Order: sequence, then C-alpha cells, then structure tokens
Amino acid sequence: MRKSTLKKSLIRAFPDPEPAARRAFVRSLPPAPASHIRFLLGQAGYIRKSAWAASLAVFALALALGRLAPQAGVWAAAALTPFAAMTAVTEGARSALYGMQELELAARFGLKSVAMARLGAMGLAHLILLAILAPLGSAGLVRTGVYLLTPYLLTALLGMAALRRLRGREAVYAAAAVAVLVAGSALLLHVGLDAYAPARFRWWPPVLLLAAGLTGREYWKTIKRTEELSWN
Amino acid sequence: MDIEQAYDKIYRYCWQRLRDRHLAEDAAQETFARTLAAGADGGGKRDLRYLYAVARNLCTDEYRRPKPQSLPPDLPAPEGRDGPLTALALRQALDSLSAEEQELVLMRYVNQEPVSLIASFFGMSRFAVYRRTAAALEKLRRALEEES
Repeated sequence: MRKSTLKKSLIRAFPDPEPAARRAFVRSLPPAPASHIRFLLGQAGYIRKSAWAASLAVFALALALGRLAPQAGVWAAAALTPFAAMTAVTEGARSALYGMQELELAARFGLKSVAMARLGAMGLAHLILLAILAPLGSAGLVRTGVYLLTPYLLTALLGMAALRRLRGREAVYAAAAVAVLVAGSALLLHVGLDAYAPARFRWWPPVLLLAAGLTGREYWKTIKRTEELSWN
Repeated sequence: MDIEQAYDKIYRYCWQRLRDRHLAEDAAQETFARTLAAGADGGGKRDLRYLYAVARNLCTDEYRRPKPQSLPPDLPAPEGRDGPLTALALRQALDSLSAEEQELVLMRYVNQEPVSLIASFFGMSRFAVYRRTAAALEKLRRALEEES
C-alpha cells in the first residue's frame, strides 16, 4: 500500500462523533471568556472603517504639512488633531445615534464595556499616531507632543461632555462643532497670541495636565452614564 | 479554530484511547468543560494543546477505573471506498503500534495537527516527531502487508 493511500485510509478508519450530539454539546457551552486584549481587538474591528480612514487622513495631512510646508509649523498640525479626536468621540455615540442602546445593554458584552473598548481603542490608536508625529515636529519632541496633545484632549473632553448631555444627531453635530471650535482656537492662538513661540511654552503644560485630568474624569462619567441607562 | 473541529479531533483522540463511542464522547465533553472552566476558549492553538493534555489525563483515568464487565471494543462500522476489510485491517495493524506511536499517527495523519503542536505536546523536538511518525507509518504499512 502506498503511503499516500495509507494516510487517506487512516482518516477513514477513525470514527467521527455523532453530528447531532456534537452540535447539541457545542451549543450548550457557555460563551468563552475573552481576554481584555482580545476583547479590545474584537471591538476595534466593529469601529467603522470610515472612522479609521478619517483618523488616518487627518494624521496623513498633518504629516504631509510637516514635510511639504515646514514653515507652517506645528500649529497647523495642532489645528488638525481635534478632528481625529472628534472621530473617536462620535464613535462612542454610535449606539445612541442608531437607537441601539437598549439592545447593546442586553447583549453578551454590555454597552459599558463596548463603549469603553471602542473609545479606548480609537484613543490608543490616535496616541500612537501622535507619538509618531511628535518627533517629526521642528519644535522638538516634548514641545511638539504637548502642542499636538492639548487640542486633541480638549476636543475629546468637550466632545464627550456634549455627548453626555445631548442625544442622537444633535450630539454628533455638537462634537463636530467642538472640533471646529478647538481647531479654530489653535489657529487663533498662533495668529493672535503667537502662543507656539518658545517663550510662551510655559503656559502649555498646565493646560495639558488640566485637560488630561478632566478628559479622564469625563471618560469615566461617560462610561458610568451607560450603567445608569435602564429600560422597563 | 472552529470549536466543532476541535471537538471532532478530541473525540477521535479519546476514541483511540478508549475504543468506546460513549466513553469517548463523555471524555471529549468533559475535556471541553474542564478547559473552558480553566479560562481557555478551546479555539486557539495553545488551547488545542491544552485540550489534548486534558483528554489524555481523562482517558488515563478512565482506563485505570475498574470496569464492571468487559465488553468488546466499540468499533463503528467502517466506511469509505477502501471497504470494511481494509479499515478493519488498518485498525488491527494500528493495535500493533505502541500507544505513543498510535497517538502520533492519529494526531499527525488523522487530526492533521501541525508538527509544532505535536512536538510541544509530547515534549520532543520537531525532528523527533518527523522521524517517529515516519517510522510509525512504515511499521503500520508493514503490518498491513503482513496481514494481507
């Protein structure tokens, strides 16, 4: 007997389980517990491709500005980061936007975990992209990082606050308005106050720290709010 | 990996050790229950190795348990175009292999597990797995020729 024939015959010589019994058993198994990383990656897969594309486009534009028009400086890139924050914040409002909160509260992974994971996944991806952009700025790693992160966090803070207070499409429009407002302010700070000058840098870290603290608090409040939602 | 595919593999492994459909099914189900209780989901590559390890322990326990009465091995009706005689002869030839060789043949050629998984399961090198599976297959072929 040839070896290839023997291998094929071996497969046929062993029995398979009864399909009905196997199906019944597999169905009776409890849902497998997912690790935090697997859960985060799984939820990242549910984030709209358009949201990822918009984020990438914003960072690509900031990168191109830094390369093609270095005279524009870091302020131009800083004025773009609020739009990346907007994509993350509006992603957190998708359930409310499509009226799916009730269903998501009853799903295998609760709305709280899903909202946390999606906001976290996009925020993490943006931070990685910001970390890639920071060394490319002409103002040095730390200063560029602070200039880029401050408007990003301010947008995230105000956007999440708006989402917590408003519902549906209004919330998304409010988040977009916040992004435009912060981006405009980032531009005005350069034009009106020359806030990106090295001499004025000392004002930035306290604002960044305050924005980071308040964003963390707002994130927590947003997540807590999903627990309070109840029907019936 | 699909959990149903993993179930089939573990069932065949248990059947190979116990030669009883019902006992094999019980052992396979107990294997999954214990693996899931340990926090694995039964689908990953590492989980599959864990499943095999649990199945091996369960089958060993079952084998050691005193039997109330001795029954003939529960062999399902052989299927396939090779015909029942070849399948029956194949099983008899398989019995001429050592327990480890039988497991190697089952995991490599029936369950079609990658060599890396088998190597880590048996705690041997990939080369040793290649060598031993090839030797077991050759032994099986010779046993078949002798029988025919």
